[in-house]
Amino acid sequence: MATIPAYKGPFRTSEAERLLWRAGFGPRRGQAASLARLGLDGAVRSLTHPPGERWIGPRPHDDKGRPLAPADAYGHDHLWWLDRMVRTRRPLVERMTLVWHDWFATSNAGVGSQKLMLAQNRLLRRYALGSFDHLLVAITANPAMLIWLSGTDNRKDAPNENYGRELMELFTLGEGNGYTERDVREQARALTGWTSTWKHGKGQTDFRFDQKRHDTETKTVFGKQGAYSWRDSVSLCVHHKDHAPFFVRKLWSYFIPEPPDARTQAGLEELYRKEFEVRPVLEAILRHPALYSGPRMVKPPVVYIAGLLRGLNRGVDTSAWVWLSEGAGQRLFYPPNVAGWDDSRWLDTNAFRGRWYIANTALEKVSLGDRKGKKGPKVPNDPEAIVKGALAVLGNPTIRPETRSELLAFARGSLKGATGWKAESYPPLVANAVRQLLAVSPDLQTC
Amino acid sequence: MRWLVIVLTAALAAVAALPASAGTEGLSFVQVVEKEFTLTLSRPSVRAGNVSLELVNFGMDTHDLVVKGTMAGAKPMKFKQLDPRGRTDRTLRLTPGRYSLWCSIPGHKAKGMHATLLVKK
Amino acid sequence: MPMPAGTGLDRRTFVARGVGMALAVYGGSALRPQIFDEGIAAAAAAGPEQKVLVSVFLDGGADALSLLAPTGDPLYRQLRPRLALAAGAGPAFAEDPILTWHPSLAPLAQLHGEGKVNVMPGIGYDHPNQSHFTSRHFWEVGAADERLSTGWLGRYLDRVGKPDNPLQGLSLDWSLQPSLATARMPVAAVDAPDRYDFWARGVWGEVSDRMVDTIGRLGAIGSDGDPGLEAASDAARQSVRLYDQLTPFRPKDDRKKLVSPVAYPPGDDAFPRRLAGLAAMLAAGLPLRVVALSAPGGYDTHDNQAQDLTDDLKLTAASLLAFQRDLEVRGLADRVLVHVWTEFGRRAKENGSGGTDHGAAGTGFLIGSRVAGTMIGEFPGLAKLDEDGNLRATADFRGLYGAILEDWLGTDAEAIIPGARKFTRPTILR
Repeated sequence: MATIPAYKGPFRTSEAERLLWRAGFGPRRGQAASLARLGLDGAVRSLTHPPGERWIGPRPHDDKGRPLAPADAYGHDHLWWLDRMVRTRRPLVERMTLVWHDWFATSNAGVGSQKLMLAQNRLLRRYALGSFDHLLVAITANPAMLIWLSGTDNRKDAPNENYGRELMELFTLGEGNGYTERDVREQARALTGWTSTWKHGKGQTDFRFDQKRHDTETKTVFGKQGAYSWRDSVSLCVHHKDHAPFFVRKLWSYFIPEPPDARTQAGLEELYRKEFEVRPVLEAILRHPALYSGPRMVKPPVVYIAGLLRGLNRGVDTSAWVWLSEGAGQRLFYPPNVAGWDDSRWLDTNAFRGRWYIANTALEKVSLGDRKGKKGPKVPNDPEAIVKGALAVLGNPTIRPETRSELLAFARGSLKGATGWKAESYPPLVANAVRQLLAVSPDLQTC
Repeated sequence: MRWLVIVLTAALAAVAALPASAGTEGLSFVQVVEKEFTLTLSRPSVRAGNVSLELVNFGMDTHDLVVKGTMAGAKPMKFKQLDPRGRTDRTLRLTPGRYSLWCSIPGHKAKGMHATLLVKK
Repeated sequence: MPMPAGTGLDRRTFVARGVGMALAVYGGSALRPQIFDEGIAAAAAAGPEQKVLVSVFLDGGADALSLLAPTGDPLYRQLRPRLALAAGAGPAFAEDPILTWHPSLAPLAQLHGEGKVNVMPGIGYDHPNQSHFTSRHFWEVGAADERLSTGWLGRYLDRVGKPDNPLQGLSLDWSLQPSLATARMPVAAVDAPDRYDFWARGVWGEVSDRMVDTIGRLGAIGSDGDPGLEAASDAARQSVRLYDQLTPFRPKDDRKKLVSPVAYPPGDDAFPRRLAGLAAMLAAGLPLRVVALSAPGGYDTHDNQAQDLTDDLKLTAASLLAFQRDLEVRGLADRVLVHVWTEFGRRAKENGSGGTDHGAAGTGFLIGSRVAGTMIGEFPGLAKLDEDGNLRATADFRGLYGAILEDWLGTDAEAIIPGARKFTRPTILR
């Protein structure tokens, strides 16, 4: 068996921090340090074999203090999931749920039911670290997916190729890779039979497989013949020789920005092919040197937001996160299309503006200075203390020395010659500005 | 006969829907999704009291919503017209009974944009 | 439903709450560390004669038979018993005695009288699609193709644009207008140049100015070849460069509004403000090539058409007249062409609620000092409607695009509009 390299360098707070950002939503205060103490293997294992879920922190609510209604109020679905990301004790499970949401990108714009989308979300979570084979079977039969990719419109007298195509193109093999247009048509036939009942005022309900609607004739898929049904469709894809390479490349790309070297690729494929289980492949990825010594990745918007809240020790307490996240390009439950979000476009300058206002909202509760006539805490006229304070407020993230120098230079420059009334008023302004700058710095936009 | 079926379905659904209720402070939420030409409710029934009714337009055309109780003397409550992808909400105080909901854009109700919300005690 | 061409952001109209606008640059994902202001300056220096196209969209399918009412056609009153405009209600249309301008379009009639408007009374395409999103998508991508994901103007910019000039394609809106969506070149969106800001709670005055400056400084720290850091650093630097570029337009203390040499319609609406800002940006030499924005109001008039159209068209036309005069005063009028379009017209027969339903061929305009001033395609007439009861197109939008690309923007249409040579190219300029 090809051995997959594992990171052998020091596993300090900064490495643990990166691991927590890539495999979760960033550290809570002090979490990186305690994770570092477990060493690489212990740290990875604690993520891939997490304890039972328990929520850490205050319950979520909207701006008026009301509990969330994730199935019945627009945006509460997004807030509900964001809250899970903030309070979870199983960050890798939650992060993999997000990965699957992108992988099997289903949008409520097409489904029209937050309830069905939440049910799909639970399904994705159930299979976060488990069998990809079982996940694929379950998602094929999932009501939200059946609506989204026209599964219930696919009938033996009028086949609809939508799901059959995306099953191969996006979920298991890659565009044009190892399948033909004929395979798309034949897969569509194999997938016929799913149906639902339209109930007035309720929409599509009672999703079920109906043998009478299924095309029972022989199909030819990937050169093989058989009276294939929908489970066979899935199985044929998973066992296709091009699936494992595709799976490895795609899963890897969520965690490490540059593709794996040939030896690693081969080793991961071998690992995956054993039983099509996700956990062992993930473990190898999270222990790989490329994660620790390779280049940085831009944090997806929801990861950036959840991480800020975790670092600030703040819960979900406003609906602003819904449109702020959307402004940065990521509204949960509404991926732009079935190909998911485009990771390479998170940070064009449109999103930079979005992130500026995300940081602003995150920091609003801890902003310094007098507020509504009440005097704020005193901020010392001391640039070093101000920068140190800003770092502490955001959970002491690791930053480049040059970034620290720039923040210090800004604080010094702003406080220089701040005499008279400025001596009193400027320090809180400067402190707020340093926190804002730190939060949007390239250091904190990436991990 | 049909009346019975509707109530029965609603009652069963209501039992199932209860855990999703947000009512600890007496405010429930119901979402109405409109497309061409359907109108679906996120839940078939809700507890009487303050109900935040939200209209979301997932269609490609302009839609609106009218809510009217079926009991005597009930006045219609109209929501503003929405462009595609628009949303709006109103908090209404609903007493127990059956409420008709429909889109009042000409022709839309006839094409199927109507539904019933059951408000329970 | 086709996905809107663009950056992968869904087309949503949920209003962002009072967020101060910032310039948003899209695309150019292979961004070089070159600073944008050099690119902008170079482009400005190289192309003082650069022709500009301004695209104005009437959202919802504006009713052709109201914009230019066929009051001289006996069928008109039969089809529109309630909505028909009276002959003489608006200015007569000089090129066809059957048609009358909507009274709210009097400012356009005035420009038409000066030879500055080409009217397209029946522009559309064969096999008309009556879904807003689909039809609008076709117009935006310049083809009857649901899967195409770049805008026709975006493809133009990919061909002639520069990788360091995000102002070459400017969407005067909260987000990118899909016609401008490129595959490679950067383009930008700004609500209004006088609203571009980076605001932070609890920070103001000179501390705030210095803070914004520091965003750029943080972005200038070398990334050591790390592409993730580079992307984040580029984004920071570009934002600040553009913030600096737009400084002249930002209100300072007592100076609340942009000062224009002509009077624009007063009020809160963004449309006249955006046009005023646009004229100022052009006068300041910013290297804009194509600009896109939406006219005020909604034109999907299923009911209450009479009142809605009257108000919305009035503001639109008055603003467009002011813009033309603004350009003339500033000596820019020879460089700018305005294209007014909508995704379809509306059904000839009115519906039962004082409105009209989706149709096919609609009305469009080209406005500017250099236009030919003659109609493109004749009025289709009410006698030969198509099988859905809609106006037949007498001009194809793809032919119009071809003419704009070749005669105005000076580029090969074939490379941008699929099958361009199939469509008749009208004469658009003098």
